Amino acid sequence: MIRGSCLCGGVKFEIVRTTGPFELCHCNRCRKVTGSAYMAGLLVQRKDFLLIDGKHLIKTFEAPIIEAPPAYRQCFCARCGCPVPNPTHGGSWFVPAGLLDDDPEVKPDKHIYVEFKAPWDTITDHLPQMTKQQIRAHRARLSAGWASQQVGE
Amino acid sequence: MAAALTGSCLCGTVTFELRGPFERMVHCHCSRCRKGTGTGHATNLYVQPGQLKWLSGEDSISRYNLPSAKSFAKWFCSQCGSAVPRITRSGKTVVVPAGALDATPPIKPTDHIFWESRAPWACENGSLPAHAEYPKWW
Repeated sequence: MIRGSCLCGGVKFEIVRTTGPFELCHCNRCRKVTGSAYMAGLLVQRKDFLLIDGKHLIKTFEAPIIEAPPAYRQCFCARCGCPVPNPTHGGSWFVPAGLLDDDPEVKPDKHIYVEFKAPWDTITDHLPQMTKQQIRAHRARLSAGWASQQVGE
Repeated sequence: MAAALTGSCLCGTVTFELRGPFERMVHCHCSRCRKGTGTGHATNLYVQPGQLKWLSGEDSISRYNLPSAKSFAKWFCSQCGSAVPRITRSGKTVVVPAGALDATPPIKPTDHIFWESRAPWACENGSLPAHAEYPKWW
């Protein structure tokens, strides 16, 4: 069981299990939301996620659509401002990993949207780096149930 | 003198401008910054209060002071949740989340602070010095 909570403790959740993916997104929107270099998102399935408390605190902002739906959706605690997961949308979602109170025992497996990374940011690890196009193609292959998950294919 | 830097939140309600000089920028790995950002660390640029000018949306800023902390707080746009600059409770410093900047600052992060508190899944520190808490020169 992996517990998580926001800064004020109002939003609390539990994750039964996760195998990832665990992605570091450098897009402009994630950088604005976090105020940092990237958002660390750990994918969790709906059946493995339990919101313990704080549903009334979760506020959702949907950014204007730039290319095509779905809109970039940002959920946050209205009291303390932390990005939080919102289980009302979809069958799986990325949990902001900074909220985790326990070690998820998985590590980030890739950087994505790297062409948008901040000019002051330097990626120094050896994780795979994917552009917007590459991660979209990668996710499309996964959705189609393709066996190969090579970067840059 | 360094040119002014502009910044904004995700929805564009809160916009601000910073005047130079820009001398301190670090990655903070403390647990509060990790929760506050939702990610592996905060990246903060530090300026004096006189260097910050709100251009719009100051009334839309929510301010959360962590009760258990002497200083830590989070300021964010009440519409979109984005992190925005905050003036510390002492009134002496402005902590600017670097991700809110719309312009390129003339400096880059120089250090990792509170490295001892980093997430179990944190990335390597690269070539930057990593300090258990604050550096001696802070």
